[in-house]
Amino acid sequence: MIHIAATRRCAIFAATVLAGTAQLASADERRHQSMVVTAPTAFIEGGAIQANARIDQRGDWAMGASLILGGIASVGISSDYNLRACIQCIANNKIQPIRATSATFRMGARADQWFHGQPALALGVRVMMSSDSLGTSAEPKAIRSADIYAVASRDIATFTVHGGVIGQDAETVETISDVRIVHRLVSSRWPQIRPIAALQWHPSIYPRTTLMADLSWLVEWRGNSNPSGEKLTQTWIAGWGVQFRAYRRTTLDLTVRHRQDEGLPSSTVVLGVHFGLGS
Amino acid sequence: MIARKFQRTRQANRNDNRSLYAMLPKTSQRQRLAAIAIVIVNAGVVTQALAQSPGPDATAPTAVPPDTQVAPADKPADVVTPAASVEAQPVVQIPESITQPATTDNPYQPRFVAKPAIKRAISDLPELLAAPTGYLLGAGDIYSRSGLDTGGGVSTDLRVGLGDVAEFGIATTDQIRARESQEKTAQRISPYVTASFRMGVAENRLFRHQPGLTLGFRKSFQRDTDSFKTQIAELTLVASKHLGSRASLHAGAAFWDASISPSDPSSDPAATFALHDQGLRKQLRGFGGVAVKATNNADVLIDVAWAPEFCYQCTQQIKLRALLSWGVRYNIADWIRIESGVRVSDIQSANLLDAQIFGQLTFVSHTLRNFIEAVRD
Repeated sequence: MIHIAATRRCAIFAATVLAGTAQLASADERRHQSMVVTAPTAFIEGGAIQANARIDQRGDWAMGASLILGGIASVGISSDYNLRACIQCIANNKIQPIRATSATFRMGARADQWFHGQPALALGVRVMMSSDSLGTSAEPKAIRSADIYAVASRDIATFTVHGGVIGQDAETVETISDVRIVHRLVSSRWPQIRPIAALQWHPSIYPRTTLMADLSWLVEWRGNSNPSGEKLTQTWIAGWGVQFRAYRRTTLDLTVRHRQDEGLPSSTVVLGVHFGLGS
Repeated sequence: MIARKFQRTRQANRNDNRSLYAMLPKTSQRQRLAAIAIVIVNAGVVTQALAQSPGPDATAPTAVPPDTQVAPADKPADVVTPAASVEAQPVVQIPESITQPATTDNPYQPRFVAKPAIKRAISDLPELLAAPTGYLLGAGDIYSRSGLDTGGGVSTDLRVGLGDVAEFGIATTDQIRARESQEKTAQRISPYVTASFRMGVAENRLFRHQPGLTLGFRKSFQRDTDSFKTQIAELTLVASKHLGSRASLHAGAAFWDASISPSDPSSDPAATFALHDQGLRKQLRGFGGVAVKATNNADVLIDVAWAPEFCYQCTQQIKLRALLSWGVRYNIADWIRIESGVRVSDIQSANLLDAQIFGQLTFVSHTLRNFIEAVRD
């Protein structure tokens, strides 16, 4: 029953968005956004205010908005279900997506700004502000996490290539028999570094369409469900899909996301819309 | 009458700000130095001519060459107007205050009245992101900054410039933190109210290439939280220097003091822990930062500052922690700016989870200054 309702919601959302894009914009420029699917890009452009909304086939929705500062930085806030955790882990050992609200600050340089051939560069920090509770009082109340990433992006012929590294750290506190146990993603001082990559193809025969794929990393709270004993871990997430530019500053995207240790049936299909407002 | 004068003065200041701002990226260092030299020489010539002028009946000096343009004698050399910096105009423009003669017979009365004419470059604010700079507010300028961060911290700062040489301010800071013990996470003490007074000299005021220098003192009101009374004080000396037209460098030293004592009045007075008992090495810290004008309306800022952290159950109850901030100042207009960036509260521990993203809104108002000038005229 819940599944049907969610599907209906998804269909209504899709119909509304498609109806709103009946008038198509002329295709004369490539759209650059701050994210491919889940991997960040180095592009900081596309209007003074950017906003996006997404919904997946389960009915889980996500929203975000960011403010561009002078074309060299952006600050934004988003709420999504990217974080996964073992909810009520003592009882059912099941890992589920949970809602988390994060803030992001990015600053960087445009392509060719410092020298010819220089890719667009960005340094970003994402800080989790709050997350859903993870279960009973004996289980962690919330997760704190923070990412820092450096990424370079460059248009090469009909492709846009993105590559970089992401460092992540996370912490959660568990209280067992009045003993406070802190679980940390990293044992050393420095965050765990992982590569991120993405590729976008803008086929010339479909000038308003972009095909895309990426690889990124997310934090996951596994609680007691992880046989290896690591309760807090990093998992990869791969995404691919298509983006359609409806208006000059409005794009629609349909993407599929796969996660580590997750079967193909558990993959999510996400429909999203992205707006850019202002100059 | 005053209102009309006030409007005129405000419009003139706006125009000056616009023209100055437009000039900055276009003129080279050599052009600016040449312009400064021309203005200094011209000012000297005119001043000398005025000193030799016959008396109260004279309304304009005749000894000034007709192709000379004059700047006010008290105007600093780095803030010349674009017209004066490019080439001399064939019209003698002498400020009214200079041409007005003394009206009494008092020989010690100054022959002309100094007018505050400082128009600062757009990034010459008293603070970078967390560290103070060597720049002061102009006389009568009101500066206000309000900020939020992802940890729920709220900060405010309100300052007023005093006579181009000092400023006074009241602020609430969210940078002071306390922890129960070494193992526990530090939590901010907020709001922490401070008052500050800074005084100094503007850049290039005393001699060429002299950096802006400011001596500042900041002291908190006593804060009672978690059964402990705490307070802080900071003495800073900071120098700031423009490097070309698109960057400025800031460096200084801070002398810190802080104290913590139990709130319970019956507690042992010896339980008070003060930073000044730990010696100078624990109190003295260097700080600084850099500002780069990345685009015409945005500056990139990086700074390192210090803030005390209290620990209630530790042996060393007060420690100074370094605060690294980087971010962008977006100049929407000459009176409003948005600043945003990342602040890492304790860079010695390199804990990414301590990072906070913040946003700040800064206003600088010249209204009071314009009003004072209008009334004075």
